[in-house]
Amino acid sequence: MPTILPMAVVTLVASAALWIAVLWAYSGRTWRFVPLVAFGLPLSALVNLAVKGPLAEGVGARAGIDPGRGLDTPLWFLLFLFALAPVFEEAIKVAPVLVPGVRRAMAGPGGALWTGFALGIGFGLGEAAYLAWQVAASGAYEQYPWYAFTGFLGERFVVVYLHGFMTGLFLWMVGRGKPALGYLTAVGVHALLNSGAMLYQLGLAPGWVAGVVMVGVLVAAVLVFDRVRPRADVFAPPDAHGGPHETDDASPGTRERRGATVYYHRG
Amino acid sequence: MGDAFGSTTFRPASSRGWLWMVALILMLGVSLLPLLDPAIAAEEGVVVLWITAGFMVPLITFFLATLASLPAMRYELTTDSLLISCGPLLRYRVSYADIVDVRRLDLTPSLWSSMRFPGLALWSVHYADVGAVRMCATRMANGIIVISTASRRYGITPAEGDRFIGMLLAMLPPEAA
Repeated sequence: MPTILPMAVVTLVASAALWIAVLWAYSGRTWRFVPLVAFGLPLSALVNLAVKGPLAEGVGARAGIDPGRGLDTPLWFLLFLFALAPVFEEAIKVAPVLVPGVRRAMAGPGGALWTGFALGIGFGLGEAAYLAWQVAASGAYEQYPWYAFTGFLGERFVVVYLHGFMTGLFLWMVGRGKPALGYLTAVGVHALLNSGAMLYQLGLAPGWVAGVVMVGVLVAAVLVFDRVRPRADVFAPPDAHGGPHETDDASPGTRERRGATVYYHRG
Repeated sequence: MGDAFGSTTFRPASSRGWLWMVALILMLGVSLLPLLDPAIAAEEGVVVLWITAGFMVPLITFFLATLASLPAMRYELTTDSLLISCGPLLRYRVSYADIVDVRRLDLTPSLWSSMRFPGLALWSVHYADVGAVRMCATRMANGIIVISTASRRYGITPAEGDRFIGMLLAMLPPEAA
């Protein structure tokens, strides 16, 4: 049994539980968007095996560039490799919207945001499984016990959310009639997220830089997500909110509430 | 129950939120396991070991202290104020004269880090819909009794919610005031 397997299972279960719960709660306590997560699951393996891998090998072979040359690799090829993940992953993550049922879920900007978030979470979970499989297949880390893979757990836990954020933002902008800007924004955020790891792999920066970049992108993503989300909620479909919908007079500093029971109000 | 502590002291609604503390302690404990492996320890280096232990040991201690304090969570209606407490770690005193609003709400937690899990919420928690709420509750979001003053909000979940509300309202100034 590959030693990464227990940690991969923990990572997938914990990430799926948390981020699907966030999707459910934030989209108005509805299960409507949760099934869409399944559409994203196979896409990471698909884009890696059928697009990114063949492209990198094919272009490298045509240009006569040996893999693994580090800083001796021509700059244009490094940039090409760097661009592969953002460009193709952000594109394939939204491919399920070609399915009519998925497209229907996007009705209204709120629906677009949560559809993208669901697809991105699915992609992130699939990517975690794909990477674990790659690590296991390579046999490179078999000398380590399962509990030594906490770095995998922590990184994937965050990256699953970030994939949801990037695709959610992309489709949110699609819902606002700006598909090209949405795509470029998602690609830009993805490239920024990968930049620390890329610099580390090239030996241009220490390993902690990748962590700092990820934390920075995460904080920025949560800030943007929190700004985008309430505006999206305004346009959420009526069935996205369960429970009673009665409203009451707002207290100072409190917005109109759904399902509130007011016992006392003064002032 | 209120009866066990006098008619003006209330326990929180029961929950299994304490299991999150246990899970966190175990998770942090697992992250320390590599330190016990001489091969990994040698590879990581002594500095990394100290940094890891320096972060993890205080965190584990803090979660252990929180876990130990949870059974002491109480809401007490004193003569002039509502006393919200959770052992020695948390104590909020809310004067009746300062309370301007009491309502039961379903809140939406934000993504910002705070001490809140399904079944448990402590200290200041930022909610997407009402902002920061000082929580001492055995629920994270549903059916929270939110008590507002002019500058702060407090979230609690008494077990005997209706009796608590009835007694609290009897202590408050008239609404027309």
